[in-house]
Amino acid sequence: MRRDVRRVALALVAGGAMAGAARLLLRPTVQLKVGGLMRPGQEPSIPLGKPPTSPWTWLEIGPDDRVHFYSPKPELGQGAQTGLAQLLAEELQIDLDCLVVHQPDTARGFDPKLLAALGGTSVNSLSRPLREAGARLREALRAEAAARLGCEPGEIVAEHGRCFVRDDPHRSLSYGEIVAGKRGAWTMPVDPPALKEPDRYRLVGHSAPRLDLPDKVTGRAVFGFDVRLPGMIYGAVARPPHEGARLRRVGSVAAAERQPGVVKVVAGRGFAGVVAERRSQAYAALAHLDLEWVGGTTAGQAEIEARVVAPERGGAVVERAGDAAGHLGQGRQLRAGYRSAMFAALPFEPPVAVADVRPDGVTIHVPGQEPAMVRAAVARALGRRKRNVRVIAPYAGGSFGRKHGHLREAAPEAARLSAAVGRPVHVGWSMAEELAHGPVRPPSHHLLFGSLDPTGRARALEHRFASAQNLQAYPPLSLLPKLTGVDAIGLLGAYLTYGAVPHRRTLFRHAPIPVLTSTYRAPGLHPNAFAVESFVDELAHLAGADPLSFRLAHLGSDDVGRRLRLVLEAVSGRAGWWEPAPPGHARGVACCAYGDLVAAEVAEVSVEGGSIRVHRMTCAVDMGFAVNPDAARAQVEGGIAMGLSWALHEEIRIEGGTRSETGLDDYPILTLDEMPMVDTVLLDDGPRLSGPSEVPIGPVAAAVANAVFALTGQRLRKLPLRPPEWAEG
Amino acid sequence: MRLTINEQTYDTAEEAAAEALLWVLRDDLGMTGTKPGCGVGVCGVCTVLVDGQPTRSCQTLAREVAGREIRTVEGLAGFDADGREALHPVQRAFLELQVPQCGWCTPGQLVTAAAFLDEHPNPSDAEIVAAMDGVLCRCGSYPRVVPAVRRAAVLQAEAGRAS
Repeated sequence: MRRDVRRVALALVAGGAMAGAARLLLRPTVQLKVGGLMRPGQEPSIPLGKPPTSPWTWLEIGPDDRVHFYSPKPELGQGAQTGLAQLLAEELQIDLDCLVVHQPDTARGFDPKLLAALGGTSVNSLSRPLREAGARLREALRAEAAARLGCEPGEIVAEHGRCFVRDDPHRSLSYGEIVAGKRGAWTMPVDPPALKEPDRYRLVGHSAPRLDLPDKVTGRAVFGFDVRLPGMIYGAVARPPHEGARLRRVGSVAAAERQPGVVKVVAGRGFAGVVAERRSQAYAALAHLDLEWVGGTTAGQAEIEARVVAPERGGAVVERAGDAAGHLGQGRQLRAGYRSAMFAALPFEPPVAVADVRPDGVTIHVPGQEPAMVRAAVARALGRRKRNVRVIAPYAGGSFGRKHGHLREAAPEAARLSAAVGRPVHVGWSMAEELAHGPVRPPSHHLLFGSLDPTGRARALEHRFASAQNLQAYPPLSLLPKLTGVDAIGLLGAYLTYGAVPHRRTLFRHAPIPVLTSTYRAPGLHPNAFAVESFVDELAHLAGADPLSFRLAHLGSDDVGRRLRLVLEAVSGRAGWWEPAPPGHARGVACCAYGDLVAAEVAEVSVEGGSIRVHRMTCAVDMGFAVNPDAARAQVEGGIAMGLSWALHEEIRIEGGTRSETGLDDYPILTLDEMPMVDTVLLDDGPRLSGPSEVPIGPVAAAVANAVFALTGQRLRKLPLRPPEWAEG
Repeated sequence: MRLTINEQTYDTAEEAAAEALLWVLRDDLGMTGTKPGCGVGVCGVCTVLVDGQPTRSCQTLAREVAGREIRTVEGLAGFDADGREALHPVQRAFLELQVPQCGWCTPGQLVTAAAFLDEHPNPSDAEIVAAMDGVLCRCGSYPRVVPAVRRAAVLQAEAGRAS
């Protein structure tokens, strides 16, 4: 009772504060500030967490010389754990083959925010603290070895997991022996020892084989969906008949309870699920539940498109230079509209969780990017304290912004079911459930305006766009776009990165739709860069200029401009831009910035039987120093494949409140046969915080659309690209 | 019901007979190497070999394959003369070229490639694409698949000559 009164009181206060805050937050200065959080030329504003002070949080050394690395970051397929292992092994002076990697575990003692894998930051954001931990421990081991071997620490060499006396190498101790024989507390160096200079790297900067792949090629690797606990049974959850419908009432459960194998039917506020001995039995029993759903939407595509319309007037200004409004009406003018569809992030391993809820504590195994968020969501669902909920994050079969522990997630579902039956419960969504009920990528609509002076130089550029928001599945963060009018995270790629155009402005309107929208890989980057880079191409055409030269001529002299110039020049050389394309082929170029990373791509395409065929993608990425170059290349290849799949195929449509696409038969994704040759140039223009996994997605769609234009003279202004789709976006 | 998987026999519950082989492998027998994909037979992620033929395990009832020889990713590796695990050439090649990203589609790719190389030990790139095109990959490991199968063919030939 007291809790309810407190809740109401807090809500009233919060409501009043919010109303006042809303007035403040909607001010243009705030919008510009929020709008600048993801702007090019700086590290993306992603909260990263506080590293541990003790090296022993990161690792343990066994008497068998095995080094147990407790990774705070999950492995999603991006190679993060191997990159982190390289950084640790480099300073600790061990070889990678003695490492055992342990999966993220909220019980390990890391700051929970440290466990998040966001925006490609997992490896580089931990580089310094992890290396310092390794270096500290190495020095402590040397000091201990010196004491045991009866010499000065300066006489000890630490290398390949052993400490030996420089002038008498037979006098040595392995790290395992040192740790096993240690009496009393360790004295860690107060200041971190100097870290290695790049010219001394043995592991960092080399393409070390990924530590998780041997188990992944033998089938031994345990992904979230593979976790099996003693006594585990299976749960299935009743899903709404159309988007957004809520469960008002559960009638009799007797019929469902009588079904074969059913252990229990769990019905609570807005939730109904079945737990059974076999997976199929849990799903089959759902049909026998008497459920009353209310609300939700019966919207169709027409309504979605009517709501997502770029503002001809107004909108939040998120980027401003000069006076675009005052200069757009001059010279030769161009206006064009572009539209992007909803689609699914669709990791092939669907959302899944195995929950073991007991009176004295909860353990839940959930693959995904935000173990701490999962913990909070599960604690809320169960009415328990977060400290009594332990989350372990096994390998994920992809995540791509989908597995984050908030709404429409398996973790709270599995937790509720396990709590009701007192046994471990596995809830693994099917891909059909994911396509029907998972959050979708926010659709967007873009209007771009430009004006050219008599010499064909662009003098003014304006980008007005509307999009549903990316944080809707992350309450209470979902309030931010409503309060500020800006979906900060969705602005990637929307900025006009042509600093030599004196008058530029980008405006955003938040356009909510009655479908749950959420993050996906590189939020905003794909549709925003498509619109901007298609329009720049259209301007170039109006100016009678080569699209690559036109871009180069309009880059600014700031850092972003300089690096975009580097990648555009690199990609043009590698792709043979200045040589004729093969007969029946044409090329298109596009570039983008993602925080402090930049990429430029050239697509070489043909159109065969009404379909676009992409033969080659050449990509130049400036990602800074690559801890593992081969893993970085794999990420570029993967980003291009995903960007291409989105550009050519992926669309979720809705009619009568239900989605039209139900499976990979009507939701096609890119196939091996459709994959172009990929030629990657990795540029290292200095240390950066983010990895390359997301920036290569940006230029793909526009590079392809621009190539189609060069080949056919037809402009494609809708995503996915479907010739003939010549309509104005 | 009795199933023969990777040259071992397993007895399963009555109810398993009418279930998809995929889930019998994973849930009944704990062989989680084979992964669920689209559930409609399109993506090939769940592929296993039945009498050496690539088969969508999500579309195959367990009772349909009782008495046949089933091979999963767990049964691709063999053993060397000292009894140690010896990876199949496709597994070795996938490791050499670092093909998998998340690894979810990898078992489907591996068994498909293994069956293909059994029939086509000296394939052209076009033949490799045609054979492997039926396994979808969300992460985009595609650029490495054809070179890896080509490499596996070489490793397989070397192993054949050595034995």
